[in-house]
Amino acid sequence: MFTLLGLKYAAMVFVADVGVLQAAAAYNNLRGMLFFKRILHAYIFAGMAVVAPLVIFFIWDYLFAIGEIQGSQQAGLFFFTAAAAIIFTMVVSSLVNIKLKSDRTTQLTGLDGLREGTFFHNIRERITRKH
Amino acid sequence: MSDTSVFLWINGLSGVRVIDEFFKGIANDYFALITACLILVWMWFGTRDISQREKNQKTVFIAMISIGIVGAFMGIINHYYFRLRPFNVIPSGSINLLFYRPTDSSFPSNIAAVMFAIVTPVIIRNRKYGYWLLALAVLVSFGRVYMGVHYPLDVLGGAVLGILNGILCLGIGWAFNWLMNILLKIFRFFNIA
Repeated sequence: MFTLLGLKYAAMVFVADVGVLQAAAAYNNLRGMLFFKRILHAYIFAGMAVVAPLVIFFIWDYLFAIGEIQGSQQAGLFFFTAAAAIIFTMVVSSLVNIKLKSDRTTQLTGLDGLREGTFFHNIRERITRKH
Repeated sequence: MSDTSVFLWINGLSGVRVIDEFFKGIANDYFALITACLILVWMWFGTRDISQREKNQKTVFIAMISIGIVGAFMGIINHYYFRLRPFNVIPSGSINLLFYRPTDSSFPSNIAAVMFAIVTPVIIRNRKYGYWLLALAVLVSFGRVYMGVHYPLDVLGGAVLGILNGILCLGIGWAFNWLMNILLKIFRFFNIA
């Protein structure tokens, strides 16, 4: 699974996944999940991050003529890479939005909790509320 | 009309550079599958309405189970049945091969089975995304015959296997709805559902 070809595949999937997550955050106005202050910048980043890997996958056989990743390996790689992209997004967006003001009126749980807080804000708030 | 004569007719359509390149891109081992999986990621995170989001997230769970189970089914079928690829049987002068030469069984088409295993639960539970995925699955399936790596019955068999598997997984999803609810609660706690 972790051949050079597999790593190239995983890198492309990772970038595309991060792009889709940014597009979804911009579309749902999840400020705590965005890497950028402005929604437009998030859409531009997302567009590039999704389109570039898809173009590479489209012309894959010209770029990487030798070798093949089996279907089951693809599924495994995609699953792990998507999980890594989610964790990466959680960490980066929490750091970028560390000063995000939280005049909280919405719930803490679920994706909607990211409209006014980051992943880390929400987890910290939940822990401090319990004690 | 035999499987071979339909194959020769579809494969005979190739030869127009632009269309050939289009199918070489869309029906390769990666593009369609990655695109389908990215649509599933979008369905999970990109739905505004909360009740629809929950329905979509359960659909993604079912599609993931469907991918896993159809892989197992294909493994079993490939263990007991092997069909030579068209380029192994038909003289090379009569066939226009636009792809590399896979060595696994021609029947069933793996990519058709996986694509339809994803399409079936999605189209039944969410038409909007389902139609996009269906269009992709049909293009890939046709493209495989067009490129000369599968007979029409291979992709048809793969599609039927994927559809039946998808229906089975909808049943599994219905039976394990309680488990999906628990998993969604856990994911919601971490703000990822």
